[in-house]
Amino acid sequence: MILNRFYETLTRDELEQVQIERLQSTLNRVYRYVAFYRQAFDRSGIGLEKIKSLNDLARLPFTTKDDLRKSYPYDMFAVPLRDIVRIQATSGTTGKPIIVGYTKNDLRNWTECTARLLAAAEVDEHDVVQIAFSYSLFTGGFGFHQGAEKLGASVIPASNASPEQQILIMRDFKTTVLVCAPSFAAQLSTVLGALGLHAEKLHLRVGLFGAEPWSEGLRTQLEEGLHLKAMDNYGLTEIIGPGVAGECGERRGLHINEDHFIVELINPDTLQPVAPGETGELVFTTITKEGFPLIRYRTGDLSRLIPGECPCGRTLARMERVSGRTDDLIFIEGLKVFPSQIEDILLSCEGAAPQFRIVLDREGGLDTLEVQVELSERLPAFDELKTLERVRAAIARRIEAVIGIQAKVSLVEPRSLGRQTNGKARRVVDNRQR
Amino acid sequence: MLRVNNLEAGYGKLRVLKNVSLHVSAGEIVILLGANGAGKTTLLKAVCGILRPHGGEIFFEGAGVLGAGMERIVERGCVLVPEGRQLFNPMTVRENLLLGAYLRLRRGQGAQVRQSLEDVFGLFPLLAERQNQLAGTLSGGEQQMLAIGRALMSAPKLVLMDEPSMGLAPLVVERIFETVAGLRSRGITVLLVEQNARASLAIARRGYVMETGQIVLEGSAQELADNHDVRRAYLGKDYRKIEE
Repeated sequence: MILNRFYETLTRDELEQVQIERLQSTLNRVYRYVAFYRQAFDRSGIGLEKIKSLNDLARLPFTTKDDLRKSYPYDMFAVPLRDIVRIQATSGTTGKPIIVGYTKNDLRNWTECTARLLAAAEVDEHDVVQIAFSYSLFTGGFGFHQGAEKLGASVIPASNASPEQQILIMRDFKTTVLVCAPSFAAQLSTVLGALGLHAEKLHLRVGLFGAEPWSEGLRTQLEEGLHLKAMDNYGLTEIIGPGVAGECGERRGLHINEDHFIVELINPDTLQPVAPGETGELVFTTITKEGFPLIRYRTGDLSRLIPGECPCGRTLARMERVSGRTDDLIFIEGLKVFPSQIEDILLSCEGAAPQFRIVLDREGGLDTLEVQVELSERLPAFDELKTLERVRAAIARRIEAVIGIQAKVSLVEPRSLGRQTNGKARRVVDNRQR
Repeated sequence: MLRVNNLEAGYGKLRVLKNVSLHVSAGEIVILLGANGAGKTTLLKAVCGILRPHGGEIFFEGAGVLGAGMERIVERGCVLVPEGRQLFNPMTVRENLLLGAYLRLRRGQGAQVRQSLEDVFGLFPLLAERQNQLAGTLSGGEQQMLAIGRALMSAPKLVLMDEPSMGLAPLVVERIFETVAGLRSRGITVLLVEQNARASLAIARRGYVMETGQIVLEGSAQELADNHDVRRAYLGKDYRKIEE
């Protein structure tokens, strides 16, 4: 079902009028109320009155994750805190998280956006929706919760209950719609078998999976394992949370809610727009947000826009599922980890040289993380077994403390990890079938 | 129906409107909120051709009307109900109304104009009673009704209204807004400039907020009503001053 027939089926011409009006008013607001943007626009020397069409947006500077980190906690807010009714944050595994704020109107628009995705997946008031995203600073749980309630569905905030509990809830509460990360769904599918249950005994109909990249292969696997129609969606906390884009029944690309977000695709090296239909980095500008508006935010996610009209009737542009990252961000069980974080940890642990390799695998539906670390010859008595065990344990503890995941740490001989021609070790080996 | 892109306008060297874009779709009531001096009246004047803009584009039903003569714009179906009514005080109510149909009378549409006159009298029975009275002797509310009636005599598709509630008693304001809301059912689209946010948000579908010649907010009537700046500035919802 198309939830908001008016905005989801505007002609391109009508949509662009809405976008330019909202863009101009957003620019006027951020220039008045956000010091970062006032300085950035002044520095770039582009007067806002020169932004006369959507193409002119490309003349404005980008906003990066680093800019947002520096603004911690509230410097990017465009309204006083008394106008903010909700605060959420990114996980921020290293350094400072990014804090985002929502006004009453922002929450309403966010609700509308996730409700659109759910409606596009044919979820309605007859459905029982189980949300297995954590209800926390993380936007996944609350974002979908609000949208599902708006549609009148019966919502189960299962949050971070264990896979076994989730399956019991699913069976006993007669859940028809599952909302979670695809890796968690894979885990549920495995645990289901371990419990001696079959998906036929469940009532699942639709799954909305997002928050991390996944593949068509995993889609087939989940559809067979859980007996549901698996739908992809896309979003990120900085932009609003889930609800930026999602698949319709055609499942040929994710419709971007363009009446709220303007999308651009750029070449991450030249920062110039890519040719239509080519792969590039997704860049979003929010045009309805009051609390935490962002201009040209570089997501680091790679995708492409699918040309042509969608048979579903929506005129909103479609993006392909995210195909990768501009950086080396790794997704493990819904957590986001940069190899540089592991490097920082190793540097802080005595005796470990920052030569390491991350090996990702999947066992029993669960992602596993192994960190292979080269020993440093500088370590006194580094060939003593006791010392080595102490170092190994210290690294493992530290990884769990900082990143929040249990890693298998193995120590390897100095200079044993293969180097690439550029002298750098291949940092990440991903053996998981996506 | 109406589309304004990047409008720049002012008086002499004074730039009042800076890069203003907005649109009004057929059948909508759109409200333009803003404090005194924000540029609301300037915008309406530019749209209906009284003021020649410095730059930008204005489209009425797809045709460019920037810089067109105001009589051509009225002919296309876009008419202004000016701030402060601007009636012809020494003339009768009936004469004022017929002047609103001046172009149509010149084109020999007498029969249709008589029908319009009946419609206006149907909408405002008071005007029918007082059709031979001088406009200047009417009360404020009656004058506003006459100003609206005069605009309707041109058989418009879009009516631009500049603060129709100004200087009127609350009960009269209510009556005027009922009339404005009722125009929709007659197939008339309305762009309403107002300071009375409460009453106008109740009848509008969408709106814009202007500050110092720029649009700073666009949204549904509900979104505007829930925006804290709008609440503070136009709805009289004040907050205890918080140290920030």
